[in-house]
Amino acid sequence: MSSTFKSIWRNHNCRWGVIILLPIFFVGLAGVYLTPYDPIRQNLNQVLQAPSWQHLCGTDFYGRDLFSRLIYGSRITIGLALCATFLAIFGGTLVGLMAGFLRGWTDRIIMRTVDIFMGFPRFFAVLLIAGICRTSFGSTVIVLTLFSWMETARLVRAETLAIRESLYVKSAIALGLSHGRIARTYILPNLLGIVITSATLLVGTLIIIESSLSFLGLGTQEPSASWGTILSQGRLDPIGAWWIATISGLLIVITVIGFNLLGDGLKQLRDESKL
Amino acid sequence: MMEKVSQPLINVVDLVITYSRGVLFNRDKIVAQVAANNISFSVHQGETLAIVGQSGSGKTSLAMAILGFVKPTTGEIKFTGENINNLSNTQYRQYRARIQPIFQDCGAALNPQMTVGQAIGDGFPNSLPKSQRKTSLRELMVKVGLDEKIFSAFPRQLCGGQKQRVCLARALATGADFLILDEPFSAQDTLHQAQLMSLLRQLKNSHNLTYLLISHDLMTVRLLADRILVLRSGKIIESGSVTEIFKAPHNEYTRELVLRAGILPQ
Repeated sequence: MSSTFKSIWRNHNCRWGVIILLPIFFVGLAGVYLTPYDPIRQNLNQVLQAPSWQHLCGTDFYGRDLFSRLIYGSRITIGLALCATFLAIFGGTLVGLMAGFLRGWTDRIIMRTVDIFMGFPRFFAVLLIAGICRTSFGSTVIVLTLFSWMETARLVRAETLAIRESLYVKSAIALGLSHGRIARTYILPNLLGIVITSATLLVGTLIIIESSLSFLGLGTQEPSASWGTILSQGRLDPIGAWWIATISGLLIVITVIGFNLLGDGLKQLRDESKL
Repeated sequence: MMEKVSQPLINVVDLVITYSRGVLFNRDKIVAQVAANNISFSVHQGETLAIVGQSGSGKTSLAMAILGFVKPTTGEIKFTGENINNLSNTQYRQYRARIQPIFQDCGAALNPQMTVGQAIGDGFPNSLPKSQRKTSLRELMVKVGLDEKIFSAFPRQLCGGQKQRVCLARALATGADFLILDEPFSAQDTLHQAQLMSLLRQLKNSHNLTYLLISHDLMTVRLLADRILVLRSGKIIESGSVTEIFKAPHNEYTRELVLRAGILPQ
């Protein structure tokens, strides 16, 4: 296990991904202790204050401290993306494993369903459903999950088909082990690398989609803060209140880069069979 | 009682294995390749039958058919007199557990995510109590010459000889009495070959095991087998005891194989 962590740290992309994401996660988790102001409470005497020692990232149109709102928003944006990623990866792995392991009609039905879902442009499909449904944390997670499981399912299916033909699975079949046990103990643990890589890359994509939805007013709703809603506020006065759009936009970009670097690094390690 | 003793453990009758595949852009055309052509033989309990022949002669296909990984096109494979295609699911599982393969690439035959202990433990029947499992596991490791220290090691931490022994221990854990040894010595150096051969002989005597040895190396075959089948292009071209085949091969191809192995003087 420690050698796996060493390999991760030695990989250039992984290391930078971790260096970027670790402070964001730490600040997000320890937010309550770090935020000097209530992220929702308005203070009309402090409207549109530029960044200063008192307000590190300035204030917004309602006098709310932007630093506090960004920390609070990181929980919603990253939390939402992580929840949707977890569900999409879980569903995609299960479905891909079934398709690759059982083959035949199960495989055909599952893969045609994947094709149908992939036929929709993801962002527009999410936009459409989010527009119809009442927006909440739960519904956004469901909508994001619904259009994010397919890539994982395809990857897992392809990998399962390859593993199924391996000698160690043949040996397991020869031992007389049940299909469920072979899938659980012989195939699933060997899919872990591809699943982790897939998850890391998906989180970045989902952060962008969630932020875009919130930006368009279809995701997280005011007064709750997500990075997308903060960015959306920034467009009201991009020059006069430059810090709102700039800081929230930068945060989204840096986080997505962090996840993508980590994902790319893990992919490299997997290709080198170190994961 | 007498009949039971003389009944072969495995009886292959008129076995034909054909691999067919379609042709791209021509749905009506199917290319068929015959891997085994009308093969019949039997193996008795406690015997070692070697199947020799060059690459592509159909040796591995035959083994895969006996293991149930390849479906025969025609013909029958009988295990203790029962056609394996007519077995119920439970009977088929029992059959599977009694016949175990030892592959050439033993490293690839072990799950990279499982420790030695877990890999061997997977061979035990579910009915074996947990308390007895650990004792049996350690006994098996000693029996095949594995150090108990490698109990928690992963396959990537083992050398070729150790991996082969782990596979052997796992096969024995199932209670198998018929082992299909598919080129077990080809990936080993001379020292490990000799050690493994001696271990196989020892296990055969102590467990009354039956071996189906698939090899192209006639030197190892001579040292381990009782009878030999010579396969060429999916057909048996000669069969007989080791002494018969090596002393006076009838077929020109067999003679050539024996000559190449340096066993028969030119």
